[in-house]
Amino acid sequence: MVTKDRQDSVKRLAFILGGVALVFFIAIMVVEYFR
Amino acid sequence: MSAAHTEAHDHHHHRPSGIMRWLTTTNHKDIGTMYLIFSLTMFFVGGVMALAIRAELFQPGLQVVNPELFNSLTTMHALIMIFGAIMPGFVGFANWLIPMMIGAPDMALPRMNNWSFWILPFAFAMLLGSLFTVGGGPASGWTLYAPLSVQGGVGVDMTILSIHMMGISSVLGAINIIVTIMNMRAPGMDLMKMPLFVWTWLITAFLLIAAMPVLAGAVTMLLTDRHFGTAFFDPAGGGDPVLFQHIFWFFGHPEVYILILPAFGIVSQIVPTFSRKPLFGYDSMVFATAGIAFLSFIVWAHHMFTVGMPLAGELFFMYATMLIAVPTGVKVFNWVATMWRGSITFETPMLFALAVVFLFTIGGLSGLMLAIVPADFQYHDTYFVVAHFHYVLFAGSIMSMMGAAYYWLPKWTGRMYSERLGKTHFWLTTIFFNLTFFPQHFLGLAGMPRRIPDYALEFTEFNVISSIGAFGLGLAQILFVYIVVQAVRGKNEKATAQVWEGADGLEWTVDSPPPYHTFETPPTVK
Repeated sequence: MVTKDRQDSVKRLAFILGGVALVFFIAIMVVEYFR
Repeated sequence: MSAAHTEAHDHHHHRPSGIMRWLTTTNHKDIGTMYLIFSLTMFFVGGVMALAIRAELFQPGLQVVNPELFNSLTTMHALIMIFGAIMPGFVGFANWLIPMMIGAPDMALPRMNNWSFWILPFAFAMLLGSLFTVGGGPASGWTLYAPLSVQGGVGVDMTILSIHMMGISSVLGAINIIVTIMNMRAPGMDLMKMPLFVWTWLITAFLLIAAMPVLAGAVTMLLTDRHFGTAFFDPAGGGDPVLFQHIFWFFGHPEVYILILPAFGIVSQIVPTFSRKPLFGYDSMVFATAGIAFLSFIVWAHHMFTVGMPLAGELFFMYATMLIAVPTGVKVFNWVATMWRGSITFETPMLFALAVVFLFTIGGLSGLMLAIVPADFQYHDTYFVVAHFHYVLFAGSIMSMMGAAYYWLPKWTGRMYSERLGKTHFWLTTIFFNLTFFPQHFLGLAGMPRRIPDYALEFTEFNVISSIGAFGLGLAQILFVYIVVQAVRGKNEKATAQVWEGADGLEWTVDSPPPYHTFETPPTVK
């Protein structure tokens, strides 16, 4: 069985990585818009 | 705890049957199988387009398709092979193998895994559907360079949306792979004990997370240029078409390594097995992979030397590109050193792995030629480039996956494949591949541009040879399907758990075929 701690760290890492992807997506457009 | 455990246990053993099993599955083996079938299907769809292209180029003069459709076919062939065949193929192997290799019961995020896969059929239905719209499919090449892609009909919009869907699928898949590897390893499975295939995929997944959002940004800006009055790329409104090229290749070059690093991982699994020796230079393999990944972000402008850039820029991108040969050379050296004085046998997977080492190196060397700025001014946008990247992507990525299919098929199906037919498939593929693409080097050096439906008479002979090779290469893949189906249907002899005498790793410790759920109790790795 996967422990609660393990589930938490899975979720945390998944959200961090997803957040990084989202920031890259938005940042490239914002930077170019104000270029 | 016990109630939850019982519920989970029941859930495991009462899976739905029929189509619902595949629609709702969260099992990494089922999802891996679906990815691999999808990849093979797209390989044939993209392959048929390639054959239409080669039929058109069989000789000069209009023959098979009109020029507009020809442009759509080159665009679609690339998009389908890159995003539909190679990437999902490697994700299929990752799904099947990473949990078994690190001793995990499944992927860390199984429901997201299901979603990652099921986005793809819809994305590609949309992409293929664009061919039937007024104005036809995208015809700007897979790079979708503006301002050509700012023009074009609704087919371009469908392509943009399908690219967004593929990107979401890839990023979710990459998140899943990183989280699985970081959190789900069995006790004792340190990072530096992981099989090389797992390492290369971990690094590839980071590349995906960094690169795919950039492509999504680029095509979103393209969409707003097309419909919402912005002028990021359209010079008519003060935009800059070269900006699109920079952003596209900032994604595009890491993408090239996304397509090849898992292939390096596969070769690093197969070569030690059939050399009956551990991999030479494991640590340096890991660092070389990481080095290639880092360099992939600082070389993008070598795809666009001819747009005109400062000399300092050209020199930087030239030297940075040449630097990639160092970690790549480390890898090739380590594979050869692994074979050195090994007890080598040449089963089909080993033949494919060796072909990858030989032919990918040819593609790597022509890549070095293209990196030289003054030379690139001659080679740019010629068939030399087409020859180069097919040596890398077909002989590197696709042939590594074929080798991997033969290598792990007995594990997955519990049955051996026909070695005689496998070797026949290998030789047909290798011979026809070289017949198709080697002459294209000469065509490019002689000045034949890529992405043209017609050409000058002087290029005829090499094009005839190339087209004959392409049809042989296409037909040979039908044999591959036959061999795989034969093994899946259980016609051949049974496979043992270890399958190959020299095979080493956790996936070879479970039965062939493995039970639906493996490593529910984690193994201990010494």
